[in-house]
Amino acid sequence: MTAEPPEREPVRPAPRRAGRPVPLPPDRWTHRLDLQSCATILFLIFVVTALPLLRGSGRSLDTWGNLVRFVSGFIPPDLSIWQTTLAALWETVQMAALATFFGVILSFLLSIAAARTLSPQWVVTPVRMLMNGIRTIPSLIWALIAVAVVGANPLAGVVGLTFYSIGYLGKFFSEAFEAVDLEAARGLRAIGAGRLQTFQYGLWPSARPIVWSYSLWMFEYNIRSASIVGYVGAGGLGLHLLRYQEFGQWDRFATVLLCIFAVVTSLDFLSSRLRGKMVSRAQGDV
Amino acid sequence: MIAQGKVRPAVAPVSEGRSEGVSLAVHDLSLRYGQGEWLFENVRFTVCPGQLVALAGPSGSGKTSLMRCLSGALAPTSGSVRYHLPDGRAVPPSGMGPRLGVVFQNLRLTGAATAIDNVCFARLGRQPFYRTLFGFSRDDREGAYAELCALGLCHMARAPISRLSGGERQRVAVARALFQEAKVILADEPVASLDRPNAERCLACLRQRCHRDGISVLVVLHDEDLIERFSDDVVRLQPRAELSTAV
Ligand SMILES: Nc1ncnc2c1ncn2[C@@H]1O[C@H](COP(=O)(O)OP(=O)(O)OP(=O)(O)O)[C@@H](O)[C@H]1O
Ligand SMILES: [Mg+2]
Repeated sequence: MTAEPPEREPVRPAPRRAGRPVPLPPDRWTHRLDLQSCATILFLIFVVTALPLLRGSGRSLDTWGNLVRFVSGFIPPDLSIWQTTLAALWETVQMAALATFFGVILSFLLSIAAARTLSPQWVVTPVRMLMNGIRTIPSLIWALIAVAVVGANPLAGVVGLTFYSIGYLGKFFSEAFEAVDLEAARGLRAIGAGRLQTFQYGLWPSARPIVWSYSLWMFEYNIRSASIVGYVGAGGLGLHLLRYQEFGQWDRFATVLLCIFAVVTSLDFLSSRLRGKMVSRAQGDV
Repeated sequence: MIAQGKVRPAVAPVSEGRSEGVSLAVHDLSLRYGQGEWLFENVRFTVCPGQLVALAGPSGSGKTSLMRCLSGALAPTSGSVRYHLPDGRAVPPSGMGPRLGVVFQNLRLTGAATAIDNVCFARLGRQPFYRTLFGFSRDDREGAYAELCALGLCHMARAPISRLSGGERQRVAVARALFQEAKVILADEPVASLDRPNAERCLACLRQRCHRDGISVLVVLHDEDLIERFSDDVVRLQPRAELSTAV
């Protein structure tokens, strides 16, 4: 109280004491050219070189007229085929369910082998490479391969989509397992639990909500894919789409599209709500 | 450097009646991490069935490290840890399996599972995997519930661990160790985040079980009053700074 408070000393602005403020050194152009901006520039250059593609066929077409003609073919949708459409839709959902089921089981096993925290490196590396390979092939190609092997029927769709699912779920599941803290599992090991028990009770409870939520997402995704694999003969709605397209029956085509739209939208709505619940519960838990 | 001073004789010397007890014998145990200084040297003590021994020492003196040596998680630099089984054999920590109960300083509970499930996990080591594949038996669940109630956690039995407070989690960890029917219990600061009444209740539980079932119990404790009241014997690790000047 009596002495001059020494705290006042540092409050004085330092630059003024030094005479003039130290000027900020100017940015050199190399500083601004970080990885992101380089990538952006390269991408823009690439876009410019791709511009000629926009010319299309080069002839002047009545674009608007084409669109109107094409879309008016859809209206009104021919609802008289609702029975066959619903049957095909049912088959599509069944295919998706089976593919998801087998996909989840197989990728569950594979993902344990692909999780760095659970398996030795010499197992992890080849399994991951296998899953990466599977993931690079689109679902339609998988269906094509399956048709070549088991013939043009819904089984081909199931097989193709199963493989496709493995590529994604295996990766997601193994990441879910790797994200779990192993403390609890180590504790269970220390008090005598077996390996399987340790996995089931030390690790699985934390990974379960994420695994469920990805499985649900995959089911939803598989329904979408299942309605298109019919294009290559693998059963489901796609077969009908292909037929109506070939015969130019766009009103019927529209009915099938409406069907797919209805199913996918409602499923999207349901599963996003369900997944939201699961994930929020998982976050509260972990 | 290490003192094992009798606070009082073991209240219920169980050694005569209990042939099924397992005692812990530590011989000349020394530990240092890498080429660092010694955490402790030539530690020797025994814990007999029906005896609750406190392990004391300031923070950083190596209590948890010693516990890790005793549970087999860490190999000591020299010396040996032996558990003397009733059949006369002496086994290292790895031979104990589910007979060794541990309360870890960082608890190691499964956060996404409920309190009662975490207590049930104590029985995993005694059952083959196919028995626990679809959950735990009614008996196990009732036993686990009783264990939780004894520590004042009845109302929390179905709550996931992640929703429990630090002290509540600690009590779940103690309940798990008690429910294990272990022959030896190693508890690393099991009452560190508990209020006095709950700490006393916890230790009373441990002590009662220790005497009743002839369990050998080693508990890391900081509070001198609790040590005085609940332990039969004390092992003290000296702080490392003092150690280097004393030697
Ligand atoms: N894995 C390790 N590697 C190297 N040093 C370690 C390791 N673990 C512990 N230490 C060191 O050993 C010393 C003793 O640690 P320890 O955990 O055994 O202490 P403690 O007595 O249990 O302390 P507290 O009462 O705070 O729990 C500490 O200085 C710590 O930094
Ligand atoms: Mg410690």
